[in-house]
Amino acid sequence: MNWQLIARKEIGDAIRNRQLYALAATFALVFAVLAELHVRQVDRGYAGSGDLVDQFALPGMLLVPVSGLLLASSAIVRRRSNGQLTLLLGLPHDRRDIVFGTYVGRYAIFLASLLAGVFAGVAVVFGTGHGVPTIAVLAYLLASAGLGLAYLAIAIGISATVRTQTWATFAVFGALLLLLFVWRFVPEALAYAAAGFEEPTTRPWWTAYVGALSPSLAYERLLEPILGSAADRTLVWFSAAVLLAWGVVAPVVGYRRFVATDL
Amino acid sequence: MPAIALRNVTKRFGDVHALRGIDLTVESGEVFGFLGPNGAGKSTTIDILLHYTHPSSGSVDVLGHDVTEAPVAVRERVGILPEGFAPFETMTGRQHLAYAIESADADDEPEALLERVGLADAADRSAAAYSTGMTQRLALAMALVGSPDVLILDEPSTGLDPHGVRRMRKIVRAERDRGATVFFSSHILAQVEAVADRVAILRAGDLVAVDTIDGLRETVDAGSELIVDLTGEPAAVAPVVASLDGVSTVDERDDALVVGCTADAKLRVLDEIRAAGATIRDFSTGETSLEELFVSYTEGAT
Repeated sequence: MNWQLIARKEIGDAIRNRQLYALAATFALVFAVLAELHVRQVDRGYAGSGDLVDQFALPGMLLVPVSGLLLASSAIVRRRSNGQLTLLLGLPHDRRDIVFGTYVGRYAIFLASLLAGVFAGVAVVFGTGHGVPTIAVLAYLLASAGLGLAYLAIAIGISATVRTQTWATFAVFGALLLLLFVWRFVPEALAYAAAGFEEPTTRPWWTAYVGALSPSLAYERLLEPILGSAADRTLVWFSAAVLLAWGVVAPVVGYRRFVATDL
Repeated sequence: MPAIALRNVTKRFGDVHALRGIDLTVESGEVFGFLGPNGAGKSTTIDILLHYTHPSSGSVDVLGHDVTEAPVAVRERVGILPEGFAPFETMTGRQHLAYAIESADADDEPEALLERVGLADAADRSAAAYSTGMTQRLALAMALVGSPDVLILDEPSTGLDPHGVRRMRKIVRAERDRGATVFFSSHILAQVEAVADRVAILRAGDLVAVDTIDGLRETVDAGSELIVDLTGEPAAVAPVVASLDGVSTVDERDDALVVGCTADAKLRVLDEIRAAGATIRDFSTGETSLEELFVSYTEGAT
């Protein structure tokens, strides 16, 4: 069970090199500013107190994926290229401990930062005497934690697979572009192809599911019921499953590559 | 049970054959020197022993565990000083030791281990600021955690000053006396000669010799030459010399006799020549050292 030791070391590293504080402070600042905007809108009557999560949606869509990817993209490959992995694997560690422990440790750092952010936002709202939509905020927190898990898992998978940091950077950037932007057009393109390369008369039922295969799009589906819009329940559960599936599959794929190659 | 057993181990990187079928057994409790020029495959062999690298074929057992099947069981009982490693940049020397002790579930004192390798003064400094030699000492201290049954040291004297090299030697001897097996690589013969019970010489991925240091010396001695200039006809004494113990060859060259013999036979040869009535004008010995032997074994290596 040596992965716990690795996870603890990852967290300790982030504390010692102050990465954890920097990330938590960034989250706290962003959420506090957005909460302040929300409070002003409520005071002027432009928004209700339940609209807090609308403000939080944007950092959820951008800050969470980017920080998840950045936090883990070099986690393994950097130690591999600088020789720290050689020292670590001289100790009674399995390569599985390295991948899993790094994953868990880095995710804990992400979660702590996300919590600090949401807490800071809520504190601003609460401190100015406004109501906090507790259930919606908790649901938002859960969905964002799932999104962070998926992106962090993808970055861990990449970091375990590639041999140089340059490739890790390219791959992570490519993954972000693909999953955050390009994937929005994929369901339409598939529907167009399925209709014999003609504009389909009706949107096939599966396009929404294909779209939700991207963690970012799955997250947006998850936010719909939280933001109070009409949502397809099956699609929401499917989206939650997609986030968890990324969280499992990406590190496993990375581990299988990692274990089969020479250091 | 041997400490380390390699059976027909090969390693190919693309179309480069780094190891071409290594068969090697290291017995429990011996200090084994693994000698070879740079690029001969020493580090590749050690990387395979630790399962950093996968062998292309063959099998490797350390303390009865197959390293491919049970790398963690091997790492639990082996202390390793690897090559090309880096310390953790956020940790001090003491924190490195604490981590190694916890991972090995051992009860060593970081202080005592750092003292042993001569790093106690720098215990609370960040290891990122250590010199090469200090980093080397730190990894040695980490390798000693939990009194491992086998120590594997890859070029242990890298970056060490003469004082550090002596300390390293002292530690290797102390570990051997404790009952540990020490397997270490080097490209410097003198270092191997000073501590190793047995040596293997690797050249371009092949083992060219596995022997004790004494055995290697005998090989050297058997090859030494004695050249004796005589005033008279060499042919007259040649048969007498050829019949002596320890003499392998006798050749005549102008007025000289060229005798191939062991080192301890040289004096007997000279005595016998004088006893036979010949007058010695001069003599010289063509001494082959262990160094030359090493060079001759590894010449032409790529």
